Amino acid sequence: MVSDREDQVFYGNKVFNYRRAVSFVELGIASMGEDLDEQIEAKETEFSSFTKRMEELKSEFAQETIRLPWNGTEKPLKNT
Amino acid sequence: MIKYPEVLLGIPEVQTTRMKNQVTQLIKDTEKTVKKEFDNPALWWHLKPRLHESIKLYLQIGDQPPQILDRAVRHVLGHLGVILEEFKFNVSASGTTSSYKEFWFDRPLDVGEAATPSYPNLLKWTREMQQTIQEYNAKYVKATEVYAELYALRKEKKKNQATDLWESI
Repeated sequence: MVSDREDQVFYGNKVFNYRRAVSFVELGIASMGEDLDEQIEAKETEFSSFTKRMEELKSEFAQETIRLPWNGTEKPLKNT
Repeated sequence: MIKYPEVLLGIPEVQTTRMKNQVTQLIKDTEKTVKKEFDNPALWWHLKPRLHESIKLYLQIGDQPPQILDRAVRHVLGHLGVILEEFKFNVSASGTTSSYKEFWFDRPLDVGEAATPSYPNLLKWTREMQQTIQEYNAKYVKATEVYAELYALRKEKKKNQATDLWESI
């Protein structure tokens, strides 16, 4: 004999697991069996390669901006 | 000097010398000024990644640079306006408004906040600046996708942890 409480837990878990599977499908992530930690680590590595390059570009842009105001100034102002 | 020669010719030589010294110092401090302005993490998505940001944040349309960085560059150049205002070159960089003045400031959206000096005239980025931000934009577009996936995976992990905890009790 299954109690109402056990029934609720059973169906509650079923709904929870169903949602979990659906959200994986929505994400386009192939296998639920694949270790989530590994996927996160791989994604973090991929993400950090972007941020690393973006930081380099930020520095390059800063250097180019430093040169910008005085473009066209053929001779620098002398100290007086 | 070229735009308002009568102003320069009308001020005492001692003041002209002081002004020139200030401009020279400003040029020397450019690197520091740029660093201070560009170290703001709100300018660069990769320093403060977030979901649901506009995909066009760093997009250059024609000659129009992305507003977020154009503003920052104008703030750097706007420091010259402070000197021009001090020496009465018909410029207002402090936020005071009156007629016959060029407005060299950026008024913040929040009421009560001080105005930021900002270069108001036509400003064309160099080719190098444009290319750098085009590449930044390309990386940004891809990085936002990767970040969304990473966010979803982390969320999924938390859900699993919550489920495991629930089932273990």
